[in-house]
Amino acid sequence: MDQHLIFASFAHLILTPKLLGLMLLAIPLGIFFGCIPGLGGKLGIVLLIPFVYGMNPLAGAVFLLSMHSIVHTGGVVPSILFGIPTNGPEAPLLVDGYPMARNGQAGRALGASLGAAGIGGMIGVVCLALILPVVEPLVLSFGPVDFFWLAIIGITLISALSGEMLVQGLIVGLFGWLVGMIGLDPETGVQRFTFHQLFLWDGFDVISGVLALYALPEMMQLGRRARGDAGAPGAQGPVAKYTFAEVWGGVMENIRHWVLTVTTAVMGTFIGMIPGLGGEAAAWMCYAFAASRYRNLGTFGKGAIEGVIAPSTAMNSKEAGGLLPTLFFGVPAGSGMAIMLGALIMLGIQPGPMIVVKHLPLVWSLIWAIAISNLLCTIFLVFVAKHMSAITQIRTDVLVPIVLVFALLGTFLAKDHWQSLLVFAGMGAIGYVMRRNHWPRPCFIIGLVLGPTAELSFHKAMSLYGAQFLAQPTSLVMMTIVALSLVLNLTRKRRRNSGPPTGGVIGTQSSGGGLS
Amino acid sequence: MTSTVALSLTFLVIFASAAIVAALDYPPTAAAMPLLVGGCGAALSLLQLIAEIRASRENTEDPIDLRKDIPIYLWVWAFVIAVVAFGFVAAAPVMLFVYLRFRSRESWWLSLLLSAGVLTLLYGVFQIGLGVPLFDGLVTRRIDGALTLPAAGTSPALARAGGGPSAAAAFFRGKTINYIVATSPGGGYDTYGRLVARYMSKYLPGTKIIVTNLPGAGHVIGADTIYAAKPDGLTIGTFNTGLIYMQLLNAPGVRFDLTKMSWIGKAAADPRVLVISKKSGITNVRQLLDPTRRPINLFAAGMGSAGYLDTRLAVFAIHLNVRLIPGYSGSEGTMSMLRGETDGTIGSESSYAQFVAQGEGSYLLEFGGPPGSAIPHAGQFAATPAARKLLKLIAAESEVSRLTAGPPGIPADRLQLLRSVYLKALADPGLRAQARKMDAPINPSGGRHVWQVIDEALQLTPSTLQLLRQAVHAGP
Repeated sequence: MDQHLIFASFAHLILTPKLLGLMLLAIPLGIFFGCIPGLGGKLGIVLLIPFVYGMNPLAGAVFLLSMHSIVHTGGVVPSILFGIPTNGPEAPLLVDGYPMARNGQAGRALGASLGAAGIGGMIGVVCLALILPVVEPLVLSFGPVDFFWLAIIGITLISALSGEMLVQGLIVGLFGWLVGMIGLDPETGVQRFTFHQLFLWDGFDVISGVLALYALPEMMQLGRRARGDAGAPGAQGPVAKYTFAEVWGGVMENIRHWVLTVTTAVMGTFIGMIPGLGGEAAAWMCYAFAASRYRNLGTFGKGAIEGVIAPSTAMNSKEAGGLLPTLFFGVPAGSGMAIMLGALIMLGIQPGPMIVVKHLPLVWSLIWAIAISNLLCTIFLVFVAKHMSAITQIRTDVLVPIVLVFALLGTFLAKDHWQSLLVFAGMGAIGYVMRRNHWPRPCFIIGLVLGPTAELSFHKAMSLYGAQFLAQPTSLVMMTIVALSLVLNLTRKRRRNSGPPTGGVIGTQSSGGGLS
Repeated sequence: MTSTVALSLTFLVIFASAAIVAALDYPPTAAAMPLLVGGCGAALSLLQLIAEIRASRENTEDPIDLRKDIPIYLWVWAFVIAVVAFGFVAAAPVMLFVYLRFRSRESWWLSLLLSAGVLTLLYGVFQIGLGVPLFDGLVTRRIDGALTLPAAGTSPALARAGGGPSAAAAFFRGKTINYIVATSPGGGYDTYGRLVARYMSKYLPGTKIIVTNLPGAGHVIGADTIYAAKPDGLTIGTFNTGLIYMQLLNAPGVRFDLTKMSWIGKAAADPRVLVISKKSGITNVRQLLDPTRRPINLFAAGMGSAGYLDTRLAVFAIHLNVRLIPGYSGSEGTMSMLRGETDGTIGSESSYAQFVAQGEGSYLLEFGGPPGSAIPHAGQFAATPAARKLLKLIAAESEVSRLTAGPPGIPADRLQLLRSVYLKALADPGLRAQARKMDAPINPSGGRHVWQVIDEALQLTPSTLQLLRQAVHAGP
């Protein structure tokens, strides 16, 4: 690696007023799109593309990437303070972060998450830089067989995420998979479950799912009782004010738990590199990893700081990792990167292995842009966090309809179909009942995202190798891993679960393993 | 009935219905996974249902009573229905006001203030500032449509002919043309679309051209919208030429007839080529025509897409001895060739130019493309007139790349003006320079010529159409 080039691109980025200015503009934009439920990072890129059109490729790419890489950092705020994720990858924060906020630890949770996000993004960038020399053989080593098994491993996480409610988790996961099958099947060209409705042709959007399952039920929960009813939440929101010291304390937790922080950041980067998995799956997989390691603490699922740190590092490190297949092969790692890819092409940057040869300075500039924006964004938000506690004082009566409007806006803008709004309201009912009964909702997202990947890879592997692909060394190793992890999860549960049955309303809340 | 019983029952119904629909309607490969997922889901839901029913009978604790939550849910539906009927800009602020005033019991001025704020945001920021069209509501559309019926007494023939060039120029002055791109922002169609729009407006002084993205259903939604738009010359756009196939095969959702559209021009040509990777060891196309050799793997795009149909038809027309592996989108195919998983493909030359330039592969055949090109032409391997016709179909698609068209019935004078403005725009040195910067080749052609190519491509004899259907439905 050329040391001179690496530092030259850093200097160029910092010292060119236009580039620095674009980065400084991109950060608040990213925070804005990231923290308003219903908007989200993907919408941010889509809306900014017309403004970037015709810009110098480096400037345009730096601007978009700086904005997109910190979107989740912004999204941390509504997820922890209100229990409403803006983007899919922030959803894990609801499990431990939101309960912490309701227990008076909002500042600590925010600090931990913001710090983790910044650190995760930077570690991701370091991994990216280290992998650069071997990027081609690394990405090329993944074929349909590998993608299939990785998707299956991701799906088995459902067992880890379901805790006590394994059957319910499986049902929800399979439901997600089913919904993921709506649309045109690329393998056979058959329209599945679209019932001749053009709006279902492209399938069901993840953002709509996240909004319908998380935002809407949370708003309904908060807005259940109208002002003046007996037992109404009253003027104040459920979250108390917090101080800067608390926030800083939270940031320091990342140092205290540095092994977890670094491990999940690296994991997130690598998961983010795998096309088909990257995006939503990374944060959940890292959360599940932390869940399986720290479950015995007892607070997991109800407000453990580890459960906040793990997904937070991953949601930003996966952005760095996702750049790899997107830039070097033109294969987007997730839906956000798919839009980014289109933007890069429009700017005249042709992704492909030649990019290392022809545009290495550009690549380094982008890497630096991600690192710098992560650092600046986290610092900014940590210092501003205390003032955001004012937002929590907004009356829920006022908050609920406003968030509802944004959720409807986001659902519509995701696919430009008004029918999505009807689907949103319908699914929201299911999501609400699930929430009230603590059924594990994350399994839906896992099924939605990973199911179709598993299916497509399966068919491709079958077309290429026939059923023998199951006998290949990769398959045998993966099958063993899958079997082992399932067995471990089930026996761990059985050892602890000597009490009430997993079905029914009773018994699930007390055991603390269920995630909703 | 407790809520969990209801939930389990709902899931049971959903899974069971899905499995039944899949079993009855879809071919085996497509139905396999839905059946598996639906079946397992139904089984688990049934188990859960039984467990829940038993639990609810045994247990005397208060079940979670959701009846108190119905009012808030009804409010959600009220918001949704209001927006669906009247659109975001009209309905959202009103509903917000109603909710704040009557449910939250906030003061008048706070409710008004917040509603005004939302109105400003939706209209000012989104619709005007960012140029994102928000849904305008089904009811509002109907009212709008009723109010703007064409004036009675205007004869269609007169309307079609228009009033001549100066009348056309006068018409466009001060107006806004809506250029519809059938994909989401970014990517090839959007890039060319924005380029064309920008430079066309240069040659139509006083006229603004704004670009609207209408993605969905493989360009069908955008094309349908352009086709159904008012034919006054103020709505034009771009979509994939591959929709030719969708029309020929009567694909669901297709509501356009490409032969009737008002063709304005096309910006590029993108021949289809047979690319083979170096790793495959194939050096000559005759090796692929030899039925005694082991077939190689060619990858193709997702089944049902234009890219897939190109590949399929080409293979069928010249009887290539290959196996098609569908389902590869975007650059996944290039990766599969680099991995040695597949040996080649038939696709757009622009997609594989880098691959070939790096020395990783070579072009064996060309379908369409300029005469006198170094790459051998596929036509020489077409044995029958029907096969040649199919190849011509592919060639037509390659020749007309990055098209611009409007709905049928644009008055002749306005169409003429748009066509000449288009050609001027594409000859503009500024556009050429911009296009070079973006790596976007320019090879323009006027509307009349494009219409001829498209029209000819869509004139298939019944037997050739039959052959097309046969080729499409044959297995890989």
